[in-house]
Amino acid sequence: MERVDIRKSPNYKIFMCLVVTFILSRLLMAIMVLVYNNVMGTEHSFAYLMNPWDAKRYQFIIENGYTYPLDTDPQANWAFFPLYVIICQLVKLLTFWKLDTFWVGMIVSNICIFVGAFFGIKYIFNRNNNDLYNQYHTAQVHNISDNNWVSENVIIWGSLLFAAPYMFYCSSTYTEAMFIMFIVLFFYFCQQKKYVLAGCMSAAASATRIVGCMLVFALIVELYLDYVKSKTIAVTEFPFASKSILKSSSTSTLKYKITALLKYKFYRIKNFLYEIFTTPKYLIAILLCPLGTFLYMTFLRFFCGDAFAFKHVQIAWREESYVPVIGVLWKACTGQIEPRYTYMGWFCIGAFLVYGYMISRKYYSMAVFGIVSLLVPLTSHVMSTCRFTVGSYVFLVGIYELINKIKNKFLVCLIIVLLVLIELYLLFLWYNSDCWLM
Amino acid sequence: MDKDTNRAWAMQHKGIIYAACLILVLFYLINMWWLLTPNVEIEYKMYYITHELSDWPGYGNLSYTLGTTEICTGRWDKDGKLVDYPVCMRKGTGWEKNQNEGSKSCDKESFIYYIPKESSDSGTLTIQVKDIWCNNEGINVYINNKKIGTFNTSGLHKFTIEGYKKEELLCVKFDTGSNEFLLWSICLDNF
Repeated sequence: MERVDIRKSPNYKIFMCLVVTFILSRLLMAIMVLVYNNVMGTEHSFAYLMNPWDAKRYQFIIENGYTYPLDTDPQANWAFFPLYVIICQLVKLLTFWKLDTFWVGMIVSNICIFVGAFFGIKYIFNRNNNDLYNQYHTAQVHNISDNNWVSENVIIWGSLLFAAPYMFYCSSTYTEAMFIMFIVLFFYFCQQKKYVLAGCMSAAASATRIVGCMLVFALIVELYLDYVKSKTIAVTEFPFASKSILKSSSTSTLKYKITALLKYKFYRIKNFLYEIFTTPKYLIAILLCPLGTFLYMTFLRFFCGDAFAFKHVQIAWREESYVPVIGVLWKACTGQIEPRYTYMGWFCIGAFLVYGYMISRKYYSMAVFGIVSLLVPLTSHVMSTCRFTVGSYVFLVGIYELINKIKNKFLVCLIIVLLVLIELYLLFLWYNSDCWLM
Repeated sequence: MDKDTNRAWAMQHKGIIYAACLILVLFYLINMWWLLTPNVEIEYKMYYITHELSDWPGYGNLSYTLGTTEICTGRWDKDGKLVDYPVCMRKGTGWEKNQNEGSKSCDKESFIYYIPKESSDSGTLTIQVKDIWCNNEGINVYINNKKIGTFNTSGLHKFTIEGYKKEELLCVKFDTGSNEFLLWSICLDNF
């Protein structure tokens, strides 16, 4: 029997590169604890510094489960979705409830972000070597057995997922890492055309955070692209849209041409819908997407009588009301609210530009998910949108694509170093529970 | 397996998935129904859902023991310590957020809600106004949309009110118009 050398496998190469990047990034976090304690004259532990604010709420829920709001505090903990809590409880149970909850949360988060990084880079490699995308001149084709190319790209990718600005959330008792993992797996399974599994990942994401439900839009886009590719409907099939008419530029046929195109689009969408309803695995994949949220809603109905309690409880955090999206962005970007929100408002504008770029690079489903998942928080406030944007994962893919387009390796290194330095600064602010991160 | 068995298995498989889809749709519809019909206590409904209350009173705390004078500050003092007197946590809309010195009206109408623990044929509403900025017409006071009086000076004001029923929501409305006042305490009592 032929002996397989696992070290030659591309997965092994990816795994090892990611392990090195991961360890380095966590070492930097540990060093920053020493720096912080020295600068501030404190002696806080790593676990304490890594887990401020909501991490303490997660710690409480992991240890005690959901509770009713106190008379003195309307911020009920059912605003926090349950899957991350359940997984942490299971891990804590494995340690006979002995391990400190913050460490449990951090272990879960770190495993999740590592899994996310691994499948994320596999997705990108597959995409760049996929026939569908290679037909576009913008796609880059590389041989995965090219060691240097793999190492360089995995290091860039690893730096983004482990040490880019705001990625420290993925190392603390927050849901970000688990959410990213489910999103990565969702897109990975979509790429593999395992749509039911993708639906399951979306269901898990929607049990981790409400925005997970929005993956249903990404799934519909993926199914549509797949449908268009597989069917390749010839325009000549339609007597009302023959090639000669469509190619004609005379004004007399313009109206007819537009009508024909509209009919053609309508015909394609109608057929796509027919395909969805007649292919049960597509249908169930779509229906599975919001399952996690609906299961949580059922729990809440029996727990506190209100299935929408996680939404209603938001009033305890945000009392201001602005015109959704436009009003919120206008108020923030024009400096009408606090300066940190001005920064966050402009960050959102930047995120939309990145999603626009992703559309131009044919990352349709990811861009749609990114846009929708950013619009959801913008219906009320810009608060925490940097965290939400980076935590929606697809933004990182956009940044990776932007960096990957730069041919000058020195410039790429410079950008990565700059991003890591920003992350270290933000980490310092995080250890200091700075309001600019809220 | 022959071709017919394969086809039958495929059809059965398809049927199972469609059945699962149907169950999911029904499950989602039931949840949608629950969204429209929350089964919650009145404090929860008025604070979290309809936003009629500006402060969270806590479960069951809209209930009111007649004769209790409640002070219209927040639960915490300026130093962040919990105060030791009964606080009026039943304020509706129309009050400023900062309430260290009492509750200042900030809209054309300001509300306070009660659920009396006892019924009464008649009673009194006593308010202590710390400060007032108003014209001669004054500020009208209503209970369940029925006018019970007017005031245009600071100090203690007592209004006679008609009866109210046990466990029924009672709404005190201050029709301030363009005026403003700073409410320090409020007390509902029977004769």
